[in-house]
Amino acid sequence: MSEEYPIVFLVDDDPSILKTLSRALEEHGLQVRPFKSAREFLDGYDGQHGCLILDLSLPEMDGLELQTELTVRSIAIPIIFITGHGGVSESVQAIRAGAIDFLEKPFLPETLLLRINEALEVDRGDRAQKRKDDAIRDRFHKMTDREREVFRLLIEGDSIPSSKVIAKSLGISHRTVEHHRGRILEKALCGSVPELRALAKEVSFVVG
Amino acid sequence: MLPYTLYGSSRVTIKGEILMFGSLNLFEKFMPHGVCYQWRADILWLNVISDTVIAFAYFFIPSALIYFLRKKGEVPFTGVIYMFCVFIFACGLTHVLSIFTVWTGQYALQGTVKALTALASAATAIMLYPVMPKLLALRSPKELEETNVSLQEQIEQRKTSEAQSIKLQGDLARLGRITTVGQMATGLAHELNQPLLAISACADTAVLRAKKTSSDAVLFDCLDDIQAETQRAGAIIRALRQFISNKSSAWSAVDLNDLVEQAVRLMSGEARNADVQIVVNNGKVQVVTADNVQIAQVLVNLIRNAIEAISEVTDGQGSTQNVITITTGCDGEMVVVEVRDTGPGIAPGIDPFAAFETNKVDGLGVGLSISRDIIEAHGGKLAFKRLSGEGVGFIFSLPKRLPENLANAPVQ
Repeated sequence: MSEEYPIVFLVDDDPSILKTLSRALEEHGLQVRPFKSAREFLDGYDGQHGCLILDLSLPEMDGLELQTELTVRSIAIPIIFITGHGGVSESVQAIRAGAIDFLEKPFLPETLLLRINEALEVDRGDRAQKRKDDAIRDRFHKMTDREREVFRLLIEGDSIPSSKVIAKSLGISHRTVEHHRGRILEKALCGSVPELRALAKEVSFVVG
Repeated sequence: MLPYTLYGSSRVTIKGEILMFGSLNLFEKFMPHGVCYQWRADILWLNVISDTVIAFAYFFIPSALIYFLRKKGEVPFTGVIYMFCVFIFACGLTHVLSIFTVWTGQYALQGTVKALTALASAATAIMLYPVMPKLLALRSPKELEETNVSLQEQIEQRKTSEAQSIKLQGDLARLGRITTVGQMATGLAHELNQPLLAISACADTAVLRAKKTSSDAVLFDCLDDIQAETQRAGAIIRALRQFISNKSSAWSAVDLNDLVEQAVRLMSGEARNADVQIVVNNGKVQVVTADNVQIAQVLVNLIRNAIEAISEVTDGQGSTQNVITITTGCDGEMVVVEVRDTGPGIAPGIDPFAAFETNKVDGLGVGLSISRDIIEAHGGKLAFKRLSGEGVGFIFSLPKRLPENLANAPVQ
């Protein structure tokens, strides 16, 4: 799935925009999937990578509402807003919520292409990061419950706790802690505890 | 006369039964008063002449008062004044009687006249009493004059505010029209932006397609023009919408000669089709702070109006008279642009600025009205003059230095 060709999702309630803009983007070699409402997009989107060109004013669920909904659903597809109204407050809101840009119709197709490339770059970055995160998470998931307890104590706090402190708080022996620590570093493919802490921070490991 | 003595006179008086009022003889004669003066000419005439003058004065005063009342018509307290006249007149009579008794001692007659005078004066005094507060309440002429002046001022103020309110009503009506146009424009802006984007996308696709099969330079030029014009239309709509929502769009340093050149270039096609020649006289102009898209709109509007006005006369028939002259220059603190045409002119009584009012067969007079609003929003003026020959000159001015209130306006 990660090697899939990126898809440009286009949501606009104006059929002629859907038709002409899709055609233009396809002519530029992009794979485009048009939707005429936010609801249809939500139903049709299946986690593919790419970006979303989203009209601000749509019937029922408008562009900003769809953006919120995607955030709620943890769908991190980059969004380029397009609008025929040019509302300043809406654009500010959209950009704050992470939109790539806010284009006023009629924009130059090349401007949109630039933004699409930017968005796809962001998406690629996001996905690469996610893959990396997932790989790291996988390593952490290989830990036993006890190891996970030790690991949690190792990455918490501002400074690295000594084996004795960990041993005391877990009610186990100092040597057992050192043994677990060795296994943890091995599984996480880390050479040292500071490296382990940096790695955990990178994937913002949620200690459960 | 001399035989009467003082003693005798008192005796005679007693004899005349003065205390018996009932049998009083008005014309009973006593010793004349002159006797008291011992007929001394100096004392006698001093009294007689004084009494005469007093009597004349006392007769004259009420006559004057009555004359005044008659002439003046509505005067307050007429009753009191008439009573006063009677009283003064009576006083005058007593003085006449004083003269009379110097030679003829008819004191009963004199007393009676005095009694009547007493009645009149007492009555006047009594009447005066209740009237006094009202008299005090009367305004003095000076006060009246002041009141008059202040009333005049109030009238002036009223007139001024009435004129203002009429102007305001006009403004309001104009604003109403602008609001309507504004709502239309806002709606139109959105509706038009959709097809404009579609056109833009199509032009883009067409360019890519054409590149595969053709090397026709004119074709590519056309497609580029379609794209550029679509974007321009979008820019105009954006500027118009911003103008209507009363937000300044892109205010920047603008060279009007450049703008004129751009506008003329934009309109050259239309001008050629209508067989109209556009002549530009570039004067020395200072750079002004303005929204160049809006000012360009105004210029395009004026040029288009001029072309339409000219083609109305010629009806497509070319002639050397089909000229639009655009002149730029400075006038004091303003930069001025004039657009003259050789059209039929504006019919007297027609206000070319009144929205929707137009004498053109197929015109919609919104352009001029919006143009004026744009210029006024820049602190300038848009006016027209009927030229001595044929045609009209539209002149707009922009301040070299942006007025404080505009300069301080939030520019975004």
